Amino acid sequence: MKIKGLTTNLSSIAVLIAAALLLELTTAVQYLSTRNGITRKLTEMAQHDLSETNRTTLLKLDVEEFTTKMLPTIERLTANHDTDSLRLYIGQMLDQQHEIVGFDYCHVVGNDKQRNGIYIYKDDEGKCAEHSIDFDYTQRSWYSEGLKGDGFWSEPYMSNYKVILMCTYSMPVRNEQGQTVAVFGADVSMRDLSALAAQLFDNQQRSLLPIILLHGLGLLLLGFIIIRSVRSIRRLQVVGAEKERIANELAIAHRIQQAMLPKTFPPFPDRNDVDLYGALTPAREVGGDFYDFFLRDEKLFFCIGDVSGKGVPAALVMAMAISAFRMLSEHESAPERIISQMNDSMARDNDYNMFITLFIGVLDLTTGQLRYSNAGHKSPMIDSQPLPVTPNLPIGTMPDFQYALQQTTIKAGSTIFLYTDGLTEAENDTKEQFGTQRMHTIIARTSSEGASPEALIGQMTEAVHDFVGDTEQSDDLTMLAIRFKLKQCDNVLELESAKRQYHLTLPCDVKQTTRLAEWIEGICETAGISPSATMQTNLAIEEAVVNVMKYAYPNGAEGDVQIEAATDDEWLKFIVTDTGLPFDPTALGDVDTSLSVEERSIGGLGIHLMRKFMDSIHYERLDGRNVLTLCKRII
Amino acid sequence: MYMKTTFKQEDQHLVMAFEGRLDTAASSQAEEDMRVLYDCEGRDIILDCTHLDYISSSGLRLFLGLIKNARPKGSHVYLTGMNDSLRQVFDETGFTALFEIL
Repeated sequence: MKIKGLTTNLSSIAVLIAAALLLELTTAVQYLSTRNGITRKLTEMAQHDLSETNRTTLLKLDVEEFTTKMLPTIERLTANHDTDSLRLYIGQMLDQQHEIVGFDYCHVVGNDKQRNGIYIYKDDEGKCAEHSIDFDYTQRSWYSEGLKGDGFWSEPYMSNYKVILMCTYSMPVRNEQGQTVAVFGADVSMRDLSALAAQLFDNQQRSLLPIILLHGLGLLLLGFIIIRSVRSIRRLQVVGAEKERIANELAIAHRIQQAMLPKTFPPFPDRNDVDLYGALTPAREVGGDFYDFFLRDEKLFFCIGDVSGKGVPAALVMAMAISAFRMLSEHESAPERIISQMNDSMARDNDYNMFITLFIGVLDLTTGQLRYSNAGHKSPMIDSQPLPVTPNLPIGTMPDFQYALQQTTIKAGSTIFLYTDGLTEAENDTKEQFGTQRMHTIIARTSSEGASPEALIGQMTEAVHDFVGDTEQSDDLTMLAIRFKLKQCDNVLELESAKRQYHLTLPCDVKQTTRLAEWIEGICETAGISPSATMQTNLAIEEAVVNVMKYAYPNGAEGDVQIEAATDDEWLKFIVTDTGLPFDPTALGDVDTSLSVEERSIGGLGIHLMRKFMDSIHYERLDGRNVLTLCKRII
Repeated sequence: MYMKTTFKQEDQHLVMAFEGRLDTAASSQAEEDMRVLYDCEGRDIILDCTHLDYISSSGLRLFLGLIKNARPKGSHVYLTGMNDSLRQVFDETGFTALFEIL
C-alpha cells in the first residue's frame, strides 16, 4: 500500500517536472522566435525602404517614359475613332513592358454622365485580356488627377479586378483642339511589397508552428496531469471512504468485544472474600484474547484464553469461545468437563484450524479449593509460584481429548495471576522479550506489598510499557488477577452489639477441650441451634483451640487460650486469641479428600473441618496475639 | 463427657465399640485402646460407632492410622452404626470413601 502510493507520487512528480520544463522551453522558443522575427522584420524593412526607394524611382521613370511615348499614338488613334486599333496597340505595348500590369483608357465623362472605359491587362497566365470598366472611375484619384495633365502617380490601391496592390500613372488624352477627351493610365503592381509582406507573415507563421505545437503538447500534458490528479483524488476519496467505513466498523467491533468482557471492577463490591481485576489490551482494534468470570453457589468460575492468530478472525473465535464458556459453565461445575465440551464443539467443525489455549478454574470461596483444567495455556501464578499444570492440548485441536482435572487449595490472602503470552513475549525494539523473570520480579514486589489485584495489574502493565517503549504492541496483552480471602464476619456481628456474649479462658492443655465442648453446647442450646450445627461448631472450635495448643504453644509451653463468643439471630461468632508463636491455620493448604488410604496423610484435617463447618474464618496477628475469628450462620 | 471403648474378638473379626466423644482430649486414651486392633493379621476389623456421638480430627487420625496399618495385612475395616452427624464428618473429609461403611 505504501509502496504503491510512493510510486504514484514519483510518477506524478516526474510528469509535473516534464510539464514545467516543456512550459519553460515553449516560453524560451517563443521569446527567441519573436525576437528573431522582430529583428528580421526591422532589418528587412530597412533594406526594403532603401531598395524600394531606388527601385520605385527607376520603375517610375521607366513607366512614365514608356507611357508618355505611347501617348501621341493613342491621341492619333482616338482622333481617328479607331477603337480596335487603339486596343490592339495598347495590348501590344502591354506585352513589351513587364513592370506594367495593365492600362486604363477611360473617356472623359461629360454632361451626359455616360461612362466608357476599358481595362487591358495581363491575366494570371500573363496573356493580354480586356475588360470594360464598370465601376465609377470618376471617383478614382488617378482619373480626376489624371485629367489635370502632366502625369499623376496615385497612392497604392487595391485593384478591382485582381487581388493585387497597385499604383497608377495617369495622363490626359487630348484631341487636335487640345481638349481632354480621355484619361490614359498605366498600372504598376505593388506585388513585390505584397510578396515581402506575405513572406514576413509566412515566416512568422512557420516560427509560430512549433510554439503552437509545444503549447498544445503542454496543454495535453497539463490535461493529462489534471485528469490523473482528479482520478487519484477520486480514488483516494473512494479508498478514504472505504477506509473510514472499515475503521468505523472496527471501532464498533472493538466496543462490542470489550463489552463481552466483564470490566466492572470491583465486580463483587459486597463481598470481602474475593477481589478481582482484569485487563485486556488488544494489539489491534480487536483481538483473540479473552477472560471471563462469574460467581455461582459460592464458587468463582474464571477463565483466560488466547485464540491463535490476531485481528478479526481471532476475534470471531474469541466471541464464540466466551459464549460457550458462559453457556456450559451455567450447568457444569467441573472445569475439565467445561473445557472438554468446548473442545468437542470447536474441534468438530474446525475448517480453519484455529485453536485456543485456555485455562479454566473454579475456586470454592468457602474453602479456597481450586479445581482447574488447562488446555495448553501458560501456567498461572499463585503468588510467586507457578501453579503446577498438565499442559494437555489447546482446544480445537483434537476432538474427544480427555482433559485432566487438577486441584489445589489456595491459601487465604493468596493471589492467582493469569496472563496470556502477550505479557511474557512483549518485545522491545531490540526484539528482547519481557520474559517470565521480569514478571516474577513484579509479582514478588506486589505480593510483599500486599498489593490488590488492580495494583498488581497496574504495575505489571506499567512495567511492560516501560520495557517495550515505543515499539508497536505485537500481541494482545491480557491479565487477570484474583485475590482470595476467606470470608470475614467481623463486619456482620460486633461483639458489643451482640445479643449475648460469652467468654472462656483455657490453659494450654488438650484435656481442657472437654470443658470447651460443654461451654459451646451451652451457647448453642441457648441460641436454639440444631444438634447437627452444634456438633459442627463444636468440632470447628475444638480444632481451632487444639491447633493453638499444639502450634502456638509447642512442646508444652504454657499459656492461655481466650475464647470469646457472641450470638445474634443470624450469626454465631467465635474469636480465639492467644499470645503464643505466630500461627495462621488459614495459611495451611487443604487436604485432598479424593486421595486413597495410602496417599492420605494424617495432617490437615483440622483446618479442613473448620473451613467446612464454619461460614468464615479469618486470621490476624494483632499486637503479638494470634486472633482467629470463626463465624457460622445459624439461620 | 466421656469416651469409652469396648473390644471383643469374634471368630475372624476384631470388634471395637466406641461410646461418647472421641475428641482431642479423649484421643490419647483411644489411641492406647485401639492398639489391640493393630495385630489384626488379616482378620477384618469392625468399628462399632452406634454410640459414638462425636469425632474430631484427632479421632479421625486414629481411624486413618488404623486402616493404613490394616490394609497391607489384607484386613478390611468396617464402620457400623454411624449417626448422621458423624456421617457428615466422614463425608466432608473424604473418609467415607476410605472405609467400608455398613
